[in-house]
Amino acid sequence: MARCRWYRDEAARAFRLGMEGQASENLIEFIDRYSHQLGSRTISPGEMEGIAAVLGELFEAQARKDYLYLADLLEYRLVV
Amino acid sequence: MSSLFELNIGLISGRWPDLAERIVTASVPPSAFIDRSGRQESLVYEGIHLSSGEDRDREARLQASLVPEGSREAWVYGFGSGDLPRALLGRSEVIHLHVVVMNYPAARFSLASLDHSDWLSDPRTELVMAERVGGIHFPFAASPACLRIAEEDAARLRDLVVLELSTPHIRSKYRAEDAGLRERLASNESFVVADRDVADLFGTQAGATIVIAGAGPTLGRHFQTLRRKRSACFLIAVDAALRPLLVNGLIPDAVLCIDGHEKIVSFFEGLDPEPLRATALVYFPVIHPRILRSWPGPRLAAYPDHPLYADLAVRRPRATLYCSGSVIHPAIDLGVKSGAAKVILAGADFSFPGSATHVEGCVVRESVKPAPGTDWVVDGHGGRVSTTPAMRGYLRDLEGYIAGHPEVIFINGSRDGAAIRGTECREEPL
Repeated sequence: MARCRWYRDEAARAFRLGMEGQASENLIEFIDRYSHQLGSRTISPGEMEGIAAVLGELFEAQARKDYLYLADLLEYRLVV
Repeated sequence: MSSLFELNIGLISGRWPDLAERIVTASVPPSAFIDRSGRQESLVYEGIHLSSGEDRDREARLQASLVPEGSREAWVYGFGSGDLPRALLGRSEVIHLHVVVMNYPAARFSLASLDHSDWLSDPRTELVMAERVGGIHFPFAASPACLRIAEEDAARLRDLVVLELSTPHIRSKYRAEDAGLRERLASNESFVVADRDVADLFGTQAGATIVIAGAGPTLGRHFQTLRRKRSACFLIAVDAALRPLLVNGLIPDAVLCIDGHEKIVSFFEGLDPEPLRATALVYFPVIHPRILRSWPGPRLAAYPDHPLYADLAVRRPRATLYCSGSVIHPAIDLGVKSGAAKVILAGADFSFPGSATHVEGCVVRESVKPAPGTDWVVDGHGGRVSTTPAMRGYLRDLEGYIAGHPEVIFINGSRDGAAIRGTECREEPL
């Protein structure tokens, strides 16, 4: 959990600083750990729907390279 | 005109009239909007949020942290929502803050939507047009969203800033690969001992026209002329361009290979050795030994100016070739050190003209689909051509190299690839 948060924070920090390569690598590490974490605990269908919606927005922001919004989604919208 | 815009532009007109003119004449696209879904307003321009919509101050303080405490002068690339210049002016020790405008319509949108009067009226602020900034200045902080939406006039500066921001990460990645490369250097040392020094080629082409064949998509346009005038020039190819050249009846005088990656071997596999008996393979000794073993012609070792080679350079001194990540760099440096009066760049596109990654016939050629958010660089027509951040970095480093060699004429053989500062563009260069 702590490691997962660490990668999230590092990804958000690097995106806000414009360090895209570093940010993207940390994002990949975070998503990897986060999906693992989701798979290992019980989540209500409602909660899952919320998480899926934020992740959907996150990947859209990543595709259009809207990185400050992506950082907001990571830090303020995604429950980790 | 909003009252906020009148207030902000009034301050700019009084202090920087040229800049005010550029902003007033810029038109904001209708897609620009204010996102109010977060705790704070965030401006969205071309689909890109210019700031956090949750905690703009915190974000600006983080971005400002790139400027060391105690700095008296600093540069800000892109003012976004104004929070970053404000954060730096909050430091009493800052006596001069240069704020560079990277996109005029976005600047207009921001000035019409938010109150910037505090930092615009601060006597320490100097608002600057990106096109008037010669190069990157330090120390700096940047609004990454403004780098993303930078206009053509600001593209070169954007690339220099992005390159600088990514350098620590690139270095740490290379350091992680160092162990494997050290092993490769050790196992290839016997080749270095047996082979000639690249310095043997230096000065051998004094006053010549040297063509550098990169593997970009536009290389193919030069095949016909090159065949006709082959004897009039010295031809140096990067490894990826070798096969396409041979298929088109062109035998280079020298081929550059510098990358230890396994995939590079595919550039050499299955080639007919006969035409290459007199072609020099110039290499950095990290390359795969299979390439060295199978090369039918003379081999010449060279080193980049890199700490990884320091020990080997003491034991087996060899000449160096300039390299900043791309094989095109040492290929060009070899041309210059061989004595070229004129260097013609063919297929040095640093981009994907025609939506292809490489020249036809190159085994790693792929087609690229244009997508929103694709990275771009200014081409020789003044438009945009898609690229990657890495290639932009190689391009800007090459421009720095060219600027250091005023004794050589550099010709860019295509307008469809990236415009290269310091070159003259001629599509029939020979």
